[in-house]
Amino acid sequence: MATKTAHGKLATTPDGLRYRPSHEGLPPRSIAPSKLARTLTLVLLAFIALYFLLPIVWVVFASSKTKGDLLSSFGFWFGNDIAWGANWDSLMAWTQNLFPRWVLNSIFYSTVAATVGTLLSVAAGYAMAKFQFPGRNAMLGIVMTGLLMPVALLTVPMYLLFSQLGITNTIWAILIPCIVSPFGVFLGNVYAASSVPTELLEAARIDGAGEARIFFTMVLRLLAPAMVTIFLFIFVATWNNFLLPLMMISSAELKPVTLGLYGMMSYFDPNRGAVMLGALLGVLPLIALFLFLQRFWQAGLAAGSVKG
Amino acid sequence: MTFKRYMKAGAMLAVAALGLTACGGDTATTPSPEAPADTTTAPAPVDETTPAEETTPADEPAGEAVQIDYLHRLPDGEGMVPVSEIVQRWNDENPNIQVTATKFDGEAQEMITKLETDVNANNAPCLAQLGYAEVPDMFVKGLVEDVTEEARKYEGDFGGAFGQMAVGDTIVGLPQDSGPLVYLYNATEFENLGIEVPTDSASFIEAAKTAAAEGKYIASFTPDEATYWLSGQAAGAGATWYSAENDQWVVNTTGEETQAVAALWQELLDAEAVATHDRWGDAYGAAMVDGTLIGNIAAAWETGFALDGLDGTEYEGQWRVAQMPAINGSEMTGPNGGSGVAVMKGCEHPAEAMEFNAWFNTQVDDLAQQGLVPAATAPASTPEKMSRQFGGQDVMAELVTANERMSTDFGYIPGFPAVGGEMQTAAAAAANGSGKVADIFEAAQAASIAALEDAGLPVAQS
Repeated sequence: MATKTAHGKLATTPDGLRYRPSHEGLPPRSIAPSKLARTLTLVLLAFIALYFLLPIVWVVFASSKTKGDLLSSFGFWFGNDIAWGANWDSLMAWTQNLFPRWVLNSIFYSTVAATVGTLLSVAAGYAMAKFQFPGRNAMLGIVMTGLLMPVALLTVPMYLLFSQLGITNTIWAILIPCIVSPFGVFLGNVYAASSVPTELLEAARIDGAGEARIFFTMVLRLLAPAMVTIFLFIFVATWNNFLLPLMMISSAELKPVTLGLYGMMSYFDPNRGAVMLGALLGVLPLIALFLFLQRFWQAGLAAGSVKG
Repeated sequence: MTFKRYMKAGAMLAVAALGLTACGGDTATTPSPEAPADTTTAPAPVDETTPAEETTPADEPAGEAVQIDYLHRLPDGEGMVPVSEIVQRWNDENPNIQVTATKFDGEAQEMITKLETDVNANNAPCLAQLGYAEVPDMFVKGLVEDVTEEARKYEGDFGGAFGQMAVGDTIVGLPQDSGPLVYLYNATEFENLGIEVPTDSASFIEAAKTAAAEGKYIASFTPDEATYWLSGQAAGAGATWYSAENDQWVVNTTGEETQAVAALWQELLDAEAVATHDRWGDAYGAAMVDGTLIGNIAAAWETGFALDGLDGTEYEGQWRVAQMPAINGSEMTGPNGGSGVAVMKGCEHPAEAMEFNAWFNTQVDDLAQQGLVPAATAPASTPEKMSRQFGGQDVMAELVTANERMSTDFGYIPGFPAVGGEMQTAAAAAANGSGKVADIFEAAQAASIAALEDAGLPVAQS
């Protein structure tokens, strides 16, 4: 036994017993993953990280290139010229100087839709999870059906409807459909059912708290992790929304960045370096948001997993 | 219980109201900090007119300024005169006809979808840009107005493309730009190889073989562009694919003239004397940058950007434009793309719209800046960038010649985009050797008849 100490030296306890200590930073030997398993996991995770990071790295390099360099130089390094300045000028010229505004528009649409949408979602989800009222299951069923509807299918009918209301080509045409999120309601419902104890609500009612107070002071706090998840979900969905603004918005001033960049790409042979720069700058706010909110999101995803 | 339900509803409403007011406040403030950043003057006034126009197109009192909406998808790119600026000039001179130009940020097909929806919602712009091949489709669907009478007034200002905006005897708008096929080539490389610019099928094949022996290609067979690239060549060879006889459509995409086009490319492909890069893939541009692709048959509008990748390389300024080689002995060329401005269904002021339409599409210098080859007959001056990239050649003059050589007998059918899909599939097979070029035109024949029958239109059985 003592001769096979390839992975660790024997140690002696103060009272003279010899034992094989566990590796530093790892669980006890009996349950620690083998070296092979750890290496495999690391390699796999490294691959996944590369898979997700490489496109972004590519965009960073591509955004620095001229048209000729984009075609002839290696994708993961700079070309002959570093043309960030020229590409920026070209981007601004192609977008009639509206590019920064489009990014701000996207931030505005996403933030408002995500904020209002999150509140609506958890309120509706909570109501359906914790109150008994006639038609509750039917409502839940309808929301679930909405979850299955592809957005593309709904865009044209929605356009006709909004056109009758006279609100196409306004911010409402983007905000209203984005605020309503069946997935958000569904998540809110699941989280409220699992992480808001009914006993707590009853105790609050006995203490004389009204329903509004219960919702805003207690339930919202209990549902905070879920709200972060829903917020991010709606935020990203609104940011990436494309078909809806394409149909609804025609004023250049109201366009989100996705639509504006697409406008540059939809011509033959666009200045790709400039579009790549736009794509890079357009995705930075999202990256920043995720880095900032990711720890909340982790908590959100795990919430309720134990209680089931 | 009921009380609680009211409370719930109240709470939700309160939440919604909070959100809405927060939003409203934000919108009011958002534009103001952005306004100073807007150094280009044009978009701001344009935007202000849009909502007012859209909400009250019908109850515009007579005698006041007529409002015309114009939806386009011109590039408005770097160094171009923006469409809004051209329109502003019109608005300044014509206080009674105020035009609002809006750029559609999307593909042509998506714009068609939007126009269809808009017409159905009774919300369509008065004027919209339509590809020539889309005109019959839009007409059959009843999405465009008949403005034959108005259009006839301006016929003299436009060349052969005037007929492209007609379906039968009905004219729905005016042509904007045209895309006659021309031949682009690197003159310096041609000189080094000792070859001449090909003028007919035989010299084209010979030159291609000479160049291919040196590892250079004087053309690329482009499967992804097969639809208009090949149908345009067939038109140039003298073919008429679609005609009407006794109120029935006659489809003939496999005639003798078209077979001449098939034979030309089949021989070039068999001899491996041409490249087979997709036109809109990276390989095409890369082959130009590394100097292996030194020419191709291309639409006239490609002169606006095709050489951008060569700026700063040793090949800058070496390319030239020439007329398309005569296939089947025909001195004509054919259309590849191009579009016009049509009057959409439900337009309240078609006469005024056409007045602007005619003016706008004769602003040839501005349109040339947008990378177009104007359909109007007035000569456009060659933009500076184009002149530099083509070594000082008067490109526009050459393109006007091509316009004059364009076949006037070639029109499309409703549903032609679907035909194009079939052609591209067959062309990809021809390019990799698993099919023949002639198959492309067989596929077009079958797909055309199917498209017409699907649309419920009578087809002559031949």
